Amino acid sequence: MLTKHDGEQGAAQTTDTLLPKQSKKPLNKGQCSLDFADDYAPALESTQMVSINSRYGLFIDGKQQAPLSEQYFATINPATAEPLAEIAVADQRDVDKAVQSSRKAYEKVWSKLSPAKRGRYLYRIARILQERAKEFAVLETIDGGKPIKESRDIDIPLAAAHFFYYAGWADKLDYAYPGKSVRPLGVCGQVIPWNFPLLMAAWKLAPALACGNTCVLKPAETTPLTALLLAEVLQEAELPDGVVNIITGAGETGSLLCQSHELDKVAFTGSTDVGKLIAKNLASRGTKLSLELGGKSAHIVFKDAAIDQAVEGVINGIYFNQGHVCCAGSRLLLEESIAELFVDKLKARMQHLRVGNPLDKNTDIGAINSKAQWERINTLIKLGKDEPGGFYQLDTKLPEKGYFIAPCFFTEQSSSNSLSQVEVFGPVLSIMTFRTPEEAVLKANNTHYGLAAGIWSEKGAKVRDIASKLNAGVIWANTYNKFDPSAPFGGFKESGYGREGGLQGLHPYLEVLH
Amino acid sequence: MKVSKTIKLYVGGAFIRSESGRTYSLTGAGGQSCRVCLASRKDFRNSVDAAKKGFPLWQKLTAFNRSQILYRMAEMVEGKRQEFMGLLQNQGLDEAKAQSEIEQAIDLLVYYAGFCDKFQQLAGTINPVNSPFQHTSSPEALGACCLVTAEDTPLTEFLGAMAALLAGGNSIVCLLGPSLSPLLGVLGEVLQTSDLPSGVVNLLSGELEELCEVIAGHHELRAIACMAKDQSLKTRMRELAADNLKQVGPYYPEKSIENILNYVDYKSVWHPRGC
Repeated sequence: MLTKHDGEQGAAQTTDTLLPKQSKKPLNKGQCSLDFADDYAPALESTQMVSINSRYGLFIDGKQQAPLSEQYFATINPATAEPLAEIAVADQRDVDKAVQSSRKAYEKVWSKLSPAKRGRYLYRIARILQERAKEFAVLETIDGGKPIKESRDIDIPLAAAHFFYYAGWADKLDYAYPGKSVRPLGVCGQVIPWNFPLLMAAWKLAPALACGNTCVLKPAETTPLTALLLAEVLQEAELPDGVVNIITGAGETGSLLCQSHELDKVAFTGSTDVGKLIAKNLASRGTKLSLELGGKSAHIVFKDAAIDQAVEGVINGIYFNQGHVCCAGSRLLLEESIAELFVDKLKARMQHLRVGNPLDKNTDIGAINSKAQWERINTLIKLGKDEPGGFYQLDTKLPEKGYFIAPCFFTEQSSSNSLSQVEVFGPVLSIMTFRTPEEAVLKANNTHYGLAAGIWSEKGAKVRDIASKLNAGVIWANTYNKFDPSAPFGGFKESGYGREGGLQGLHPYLEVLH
Repeated sequence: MKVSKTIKLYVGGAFIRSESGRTYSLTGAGGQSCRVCLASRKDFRNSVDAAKKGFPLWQKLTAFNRSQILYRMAEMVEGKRQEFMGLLQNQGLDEAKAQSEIEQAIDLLVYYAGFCDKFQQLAGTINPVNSPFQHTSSPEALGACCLVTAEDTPLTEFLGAMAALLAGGNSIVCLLGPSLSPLLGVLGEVLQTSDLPSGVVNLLSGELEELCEVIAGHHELRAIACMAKDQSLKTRMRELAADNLKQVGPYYPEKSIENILNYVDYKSVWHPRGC
């Protein structure tokens, strides 16, 4: 798991012992300089084990196929802005073909297989993912821009763990619903985002397959490569043809998939606006829908928190994965009496964040996923600067090529500031203060979203009380951004409905019979 | 000479007339007619405000308390058996059917009363995460919900759905159709005398066609339990409900925990372990 940013494990790294950047001294033998921002030699991960084809087709019926659309688009490396491969665009005919393939596989093969056998396939997939973890991690970083230490230590291991976890559920579903019987829904259309490409594919496929469904998966336009490598894993695991079809394309393809009348289930992770549109489109049909959408999660720090650990937690909460995290702790709520001290410590800690080549094992903040997202974040930063409040951005040298943004935060924000309401999906933190626990709860809940929240306090009773009052699906107390296959994830209010992970994560893929 | 009253709406713990001043007349199969206040869009919005105020009052009670109050409702229905009998018989039910309807209604109230402090244990989980954290997931109430009945929803189904939503910890605005509106007065009295905090359940008599947009489009409502059968109306409601992602869910007449679990959200809490 993530150790560098880990609040509760990083106690040795107290920020008040860190020297400001200006006082950099040469490193003498026996003297530990903590100012390492520029001192590390590059430690690039090897890309040798990854081979990228020049062109990829659609994965339908167990094999790569040229798209009927005959259209392709380029996926780029956001750290260099250079194209990596040509990716097929699935049009209506391709979408229909994939859905039909999944239907056939559902009726002829998958629904006839014993639950234990279904589980065995998932175990196989999990194991192969583990064996090829390094390859996946490097590819994920090349295609998406996230730091290698995150794809290596978080994304890929968690994706494999997710398949392991749900593999075991396949023949134990009866225990999940005592006194009821359950059955699979049929064919699922699943559209996933670009922030955790392989992990989101695992979150979607593993429970769906374990419950006995077949799937058509549409990875994001900017990060299709690990999903297409996963297709190879599925072949290697000898998963019956058509049980999983993977089709690529932009939002148009996702929209065509979600509107297919042949689906029994739609699962979407992405923006709230698109989620609402899908819900509207499915209004006249009985298609089951689960949505994991946006957030503007509050990170509350009380004066009785372990401050240095909280600083680590806040850094991890907002700057993990360049802030491309739906549950990012993007609103920091500080108790007034510690606000000044906390912001100073936050700044000091930020001096040690290394922004740069995602393939460098020392990199903390990699590339922004795409040019479009880079532009959006910069527009929002400009909007924030035009509104009342202070602004601080880490002064660091950014790579000349590619899309990079230095981590930053806005201070003296109120709920009416745009950046307290709009999801940025970037390394941008909005800081406000509160005086009482009631005010903290009120401010934290003052958003249409309800995905996650963080609480920092050493008082157990207080933590539990605040947790019970926050309108959020995931609450991290004295930690942040922890994920686990056995842990249900999903939000309240306009952050969507349904849960992914855990026992509760089975429900979106089953029909409970009465 | 008979003295007949106009049946008022029940909002925020009080019996009120429609702000619009509208009333309408309903005649039962038994020939007796009654006059009922007809809720307007504004009445509906006011009721949502009342339900929003009622929600924290309901939440503040312990699950055990909520259970006691639901059981008290069953006792109050029992106490008003004669009144319910008369009203149901006027709707065309024979004596045996009316008796059995009341029996079943009481049975459902008792059934869901018993669930108030149990569904959390049945649906909540302790999650064995692969790291040094204590992690639990538990179902929590959504908030203010709307219960939309059909034109012919029987008393049992209405009380079952209401009880299930309440057991889950939600507050409710109920829209009663023609079959239930004549019972609105006596139902309000049951609620008012069961120690239910004001605003937790609000009863309106109104026309779904007129109110469906304000119901489905209301941003303070978290869910709609919909018993209406008109498909095009339901589609319209689902489309509008998508605007704040409120769920439009079913009610199963069978006794089922799903009637509670369809109207909760899961909250998962992580906390580190260690000295």
